[in-house]
Amino acid sequence: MTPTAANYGMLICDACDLLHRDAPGDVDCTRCGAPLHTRLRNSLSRSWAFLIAAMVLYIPANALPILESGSLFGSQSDTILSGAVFLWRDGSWAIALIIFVASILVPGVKLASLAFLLAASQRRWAWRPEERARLFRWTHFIGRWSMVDIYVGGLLVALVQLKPFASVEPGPGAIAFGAVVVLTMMASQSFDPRLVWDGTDLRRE
Amino acid sequence: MARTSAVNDEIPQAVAHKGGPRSWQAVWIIPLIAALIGGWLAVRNLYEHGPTITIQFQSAEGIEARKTRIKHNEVDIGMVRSVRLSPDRNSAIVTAEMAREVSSGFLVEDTHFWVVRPRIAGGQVSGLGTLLGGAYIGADPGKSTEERREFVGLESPPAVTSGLPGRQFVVSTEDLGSLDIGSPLYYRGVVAGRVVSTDLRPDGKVVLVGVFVQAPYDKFVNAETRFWNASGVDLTIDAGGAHLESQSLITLLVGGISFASPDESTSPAPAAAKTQFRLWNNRTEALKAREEAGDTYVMKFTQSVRGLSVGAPLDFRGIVVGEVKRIDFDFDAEKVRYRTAVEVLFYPERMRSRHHHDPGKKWNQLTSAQRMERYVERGFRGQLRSSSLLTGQLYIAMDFFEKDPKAKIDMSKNPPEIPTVPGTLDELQESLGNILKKLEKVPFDVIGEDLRKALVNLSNTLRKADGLVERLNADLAPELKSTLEQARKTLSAAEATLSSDSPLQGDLRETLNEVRRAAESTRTLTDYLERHPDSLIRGKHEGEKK
Repeated sequence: MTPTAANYGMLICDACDLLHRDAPGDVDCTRCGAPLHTRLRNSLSRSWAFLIAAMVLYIPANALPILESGSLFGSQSDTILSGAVFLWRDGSWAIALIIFVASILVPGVKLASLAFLLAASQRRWAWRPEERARLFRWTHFIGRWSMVDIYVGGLLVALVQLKPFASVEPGPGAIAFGAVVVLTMMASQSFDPRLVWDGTDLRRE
Repeated sequence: MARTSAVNDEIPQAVAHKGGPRSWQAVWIIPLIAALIGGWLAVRNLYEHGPTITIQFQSAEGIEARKTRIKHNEVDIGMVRSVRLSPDRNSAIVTAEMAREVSSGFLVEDTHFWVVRPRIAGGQVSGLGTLLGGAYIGADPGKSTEERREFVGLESPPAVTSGLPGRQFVVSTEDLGSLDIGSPLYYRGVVAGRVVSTDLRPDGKVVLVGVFVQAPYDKFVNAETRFWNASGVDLTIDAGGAHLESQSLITLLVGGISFASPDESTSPAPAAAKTQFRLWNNRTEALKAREEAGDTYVMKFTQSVRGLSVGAPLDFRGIVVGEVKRIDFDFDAEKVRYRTAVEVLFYPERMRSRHHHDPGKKWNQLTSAQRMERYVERGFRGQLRSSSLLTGQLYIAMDFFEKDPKAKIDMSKNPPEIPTVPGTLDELQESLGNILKKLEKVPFDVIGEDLRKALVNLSNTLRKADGLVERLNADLAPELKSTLEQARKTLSAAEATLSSDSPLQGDLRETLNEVRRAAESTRTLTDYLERHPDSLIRGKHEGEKK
């Protein structure tokens, strides 16, 4: 039997690290009062909820213009992809690559890997738990970089307000994109990585 | 979960939480909200994206994919998605995505698209904004109900957009002159509209100018309205002096059309849209013509019509009442002879008196055909006359030739024939011919023979006279000579006697002096006697003697 806390009927307080013996029902830490649970409560369904919400919003985030810039020479609205394409054509390959990776590839990969991790945990797959755990850590780490686009956009909107000569307004895509980033972070937050290993117990015996 | 015995007693027992378990379902509200937001965004996006259309332009100058917008009344209603070459490589095909709000009723058959670029036309500068902002595509919705997605763009903006209230009319002219799309239309000097189109009629003979008259002014256009070309200056020199007329400086540069209705205009009902009018050359010409409903008649002449051209006037005592429309041959198969048939357009209204004394209004009730019948009965004839002997130009003079044999006009024919009388030149020719004929009858040979005989006689007579003169010369001359000499001598003697220094003269003068003195003394004597009549008896008074 794998010597996990759960296997020994133990609970550990996430806040103050105090060990408890398990009891039926919802239990709280006797020292700091934080709720105690073997695994994060409803981890999978919470994660799924956030993930599905992120997936839904991922579509408008990419399809709708993220920035609407206006100048004397007419106005223009750009989606993330059109901006990256524009920069690529313009010769700024490095920036185009960064934007493409940070704003399209990373959120996409993150959604896909989270979906995979959730599905695998739900079905208690025993397939390569080490790699899956590493994937989760990587996903969790990389997620914060998705906000680069929003940072740049926010800066531009705040700085370029030279009406009537030039102005930059956030498009509807920006809100969706921001929501995607936040929701994926919440999804990965809700996911309990210990679940990766739960399926492996029986096979290892 | 199995419990192990090796549990340290120090490990506290967890305390059950108070209160029931929370519903974990609450978290699913988040994807629901996300789905709602996403759905709403998607729907909105779909709603904003209207139909995709293609517009064909001659040139895609200034049009850029994903940048050039389509505007109507300066509101964005679409965006160019792509610009490509047409399959035949002669034009550019612009694909544009229209806004949702213009999807129905806007993209119809007669909707127009054009590229707005800076341009100067029709006396106004337009599209200056595009200098900085780049070109955009202007759109003007049509009125048709036939939906359409493929359009052919205009090369120049329409002068009048469909939203403007007013009506469009057609003015036909033979020459466009300086008129162009956008040229102004004037009503009493007020800009009342614009030229919106210029089309050549399919037969290539007439230019049809589409004019748009704006709303408050279009009611002044009625069936009798005249349009004339206000381009440039109109310089007339007549008995009243020189007269210079010009609409405005702009018309000098870009041309223009004026319109007005004659003052006596009797049909105030506005003309229907698309009514066709004629474009007169100038105001005078336009307003002079009172009624242009012309009747077609034919006149047949036996003489040459050389010098008569189409458009030559029909002149009634100096007033033009019609014009020549066509000149043709007319072959009379019965008599096998050719005549020239001149088809004329006769304006009966011009023969109408404005100040008529027609109490019964009999004439006014007659139709123009009936009037013509009466005219012809009274000897109304056409006659070819020469307007200038130098150029040989002919015109047709209409007048009442009451001495001409009576004739009737057959109105059932098409066109009816107005009888003619020979022209003045004809008459002249005829009388000259008559004279020649008479001259021909003169027996010049007989006369010549007689004359010759007479001349022979005359020469004989003269010869005889010559002999007589010679004899006279021989016999009489010496005698005459001596007589003359005698006379000369007598005369010189007389001259010597009468000259101032001749003795006779001197004597005569002395004698006369004597006579004067005698007369003086006689006067002295008579004076004395008058004062002293007694001296005749008593003699002179002594005292008075000196």
